[in-house]
Amino acid sequence: MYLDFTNVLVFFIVGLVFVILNVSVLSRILRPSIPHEEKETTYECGEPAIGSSWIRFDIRFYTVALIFLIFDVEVAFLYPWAGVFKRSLDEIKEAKAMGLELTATQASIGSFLFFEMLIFVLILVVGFVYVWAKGDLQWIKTMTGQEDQQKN
Amino acid sequence: MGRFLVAVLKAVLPFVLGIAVLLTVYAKLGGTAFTFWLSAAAAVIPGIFILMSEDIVRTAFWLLCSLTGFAGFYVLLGADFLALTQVMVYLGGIMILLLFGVLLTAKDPAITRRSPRLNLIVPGLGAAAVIFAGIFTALKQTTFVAKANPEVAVKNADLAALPDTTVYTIGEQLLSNYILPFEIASILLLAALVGAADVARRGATSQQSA
Repeated sequence: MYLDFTNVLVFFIVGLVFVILNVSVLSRILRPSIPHEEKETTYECGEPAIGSSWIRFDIRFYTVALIFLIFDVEVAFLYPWAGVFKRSLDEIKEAKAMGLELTATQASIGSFLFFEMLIFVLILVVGFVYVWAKGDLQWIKTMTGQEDQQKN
Repeated sequence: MGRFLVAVLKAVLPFVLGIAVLLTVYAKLGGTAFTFWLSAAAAVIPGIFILMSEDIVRTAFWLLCSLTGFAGFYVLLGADFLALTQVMVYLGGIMILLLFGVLLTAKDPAITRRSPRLNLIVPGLGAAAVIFAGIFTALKQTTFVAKANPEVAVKNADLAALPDTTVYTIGEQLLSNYILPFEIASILLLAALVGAADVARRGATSQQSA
């Protein structure tokens, strides 16, 4: 287990070194230094910015983020289940390959695990359906004026 | 030419020094202790920046660093599943929620800080002292196996003896002994989803009418 996480740490450190080396060492050595006021301004595709970017976003983004978070937590529960499920399936496969009779537990555990997770997911799907039916996922798709353009 | 050399040195020196310091610390401490201190630094130092930062988005990103440090602690404690869940749920989910919250509420990224007043500093220091005293006495009274009996500790630290991953154990427990809490967790998530959507919807209607 530690070996796997050492990989992660090495990746992390190499990535950090790569970024620092390129951004604040190599570029500092190679670039000419000609500071100008214009270079410090915000730009967007070469256009001058209109107003501040600090506007209030639509609350719908928040609903979507919340739904994402709920299902993110659900996925965290899926991982241990998937491990156990795969292991039990492997056991059955092995027993079949060796021509052994399946024990009662072996025969039933697979479907038990499957339906257990099905219930878990279905309970959350109820919430998803609720949110969908209530129109929380509805976006304002058409803007005035655009509708006419589409007709033409 | 001399000026160019100075510029090169100025750019390269901090980088080389940083790597040298890291390598020296690694050689001195060994892998586990090095990772511990790295995680500790990643968890605590961003905390200072969270308090000092003037920009609320930067605060959120420093929090990201801090939470990553805690994932490092979980790895060191052999809780690989917890570490990955930390990364997935906290770094992936909670951070997005925080940033969205910032985008939704903030008209201005700058945080206005009130100058600290005495009637806030004194209770703050008091609370900090109480928490510190509690943790300190707890640490004092704990008998650490490694300190009391170093030989046993070395044996326990045998990395090969550790299970490959904790995921199977957690899964087996979740689906046998703790199957009811497992299903209740699903219902809890459902309640959270419905409740949060309801609150957000009320916000949406008030935003439209305003």
